[in-house]
Amino acid sequence: MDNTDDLLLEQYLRGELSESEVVALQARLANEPQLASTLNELQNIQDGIRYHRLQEKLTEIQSWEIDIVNEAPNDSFEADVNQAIRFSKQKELLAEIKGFELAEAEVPTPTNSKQQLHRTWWTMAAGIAILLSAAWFLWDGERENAMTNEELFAEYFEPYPANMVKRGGEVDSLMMGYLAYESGDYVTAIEIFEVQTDTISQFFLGVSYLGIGEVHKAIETLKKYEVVAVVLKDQSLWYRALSHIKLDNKSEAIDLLEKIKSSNPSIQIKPRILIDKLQNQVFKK
Amino acid sequence: MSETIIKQIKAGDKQALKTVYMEHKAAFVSFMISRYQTSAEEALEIYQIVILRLYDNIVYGKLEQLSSTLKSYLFAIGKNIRREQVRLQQRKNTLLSIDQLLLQTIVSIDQTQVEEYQLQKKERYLQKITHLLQQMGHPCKVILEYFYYEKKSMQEIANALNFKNTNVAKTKKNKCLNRLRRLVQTEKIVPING
Repeated sequence: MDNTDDLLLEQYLRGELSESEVVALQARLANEPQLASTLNELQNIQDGIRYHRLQEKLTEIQSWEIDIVNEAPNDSFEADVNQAIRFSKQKELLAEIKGFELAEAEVPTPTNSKQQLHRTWWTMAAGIAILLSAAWFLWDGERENAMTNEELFAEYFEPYPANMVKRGGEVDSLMMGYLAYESGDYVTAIEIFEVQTDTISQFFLGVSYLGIGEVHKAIETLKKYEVVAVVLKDQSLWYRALSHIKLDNKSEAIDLLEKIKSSNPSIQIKPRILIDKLQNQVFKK
Repeated sequence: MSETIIKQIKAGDKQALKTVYMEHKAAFVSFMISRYQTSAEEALEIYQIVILRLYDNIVYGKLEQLSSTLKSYLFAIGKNIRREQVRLQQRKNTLLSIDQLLLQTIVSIDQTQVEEYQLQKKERYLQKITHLLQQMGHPCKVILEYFYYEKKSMQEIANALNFKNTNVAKTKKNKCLNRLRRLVQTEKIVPING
């Protein structure tokens, strides 16, 4: 085989030959074992290169599942601190989730699988919520100063991260709720969360209502949630405050934000800034 | 819309592929669970392979435009993968792992009907090539990927890697290929036919 043949085989593998050229080559391949062997070698090498690229790409695709939902701001010291906290928290979360999964695998319980699953989800969600909650309240990006209430709401409303909640273990419809929620399909998420009996789903149900603009339902659901909430109580207050901003109920919103401030001194930044904006009327009416 | 996304993916825009992934994930997973009674984890793995095949069809294949919506296209790939999976599950009595689904992307259906041992041999071969490519490093790995996977022209390779001209690109490509061939022989990797 000469260089011309090498070129011919490469063109064949790259799909660059015409139909008649392919027919001619196939005729030669049937009669020239050495040429056929070289083609086989090149085809295998090409397959190997393709396999390598696809392995790398699959790893990249899988990594998207553990990305943080919200991108941290990057232009201030506070943002850097927040990013660092989130990074460290995410590592803790992964360890925590692995712990939950191991615990589930090692300690079989007499409950039926659905009940067991339900408890796993709830435990995971609660653990994650506790780990995330303080860092979540630290964040506050650059905001426009002059805004209407609607704009202020839109600027501050972002769904509470749920992507870590849904990971790990066997899954039922509850995970579907989290997947829908995470992708912004609040209508589907609401359908699923509405029929769940665990506490944490009620929080995400409230946020989902807010996501589709069902503000009164959001307020009602979150208020009920706060009565029984063990975790995410401050976050629930936050979403209720945003609901009231959307309804132009400034004083109710401020009351709720003050509650968050007084409940935990370490989570004051976002509520404080929002209170300032509401009190100083720097937004357009 | 689909054409723009296909062009972006073809041009190596990672965000475009991620956007597609995020946009259709929930609907796809819901569909697989309700239609095929898969677990959500199985559905998610299939979805990741679906996105991988979309990428492969665009970059390695010649997919330039869709006759249906992107969503329908993804669902059609997903259904095919599930059917493959069920067919092989019935034969082997075990569910295909995500790595095996990846292998299925390269090895055609006909080839999966060959003896198990031959498939394993092919997989080992592919893995060794992967290892050798890593060992060769830049620029050989990139040149070979550009040429054999992305099917870039010598001009495109020369531009992308700042080579003086296409002759330089061509010479380097041939050197890299011959180096890989030698390594394959040194490692005594025996490719299978087909």
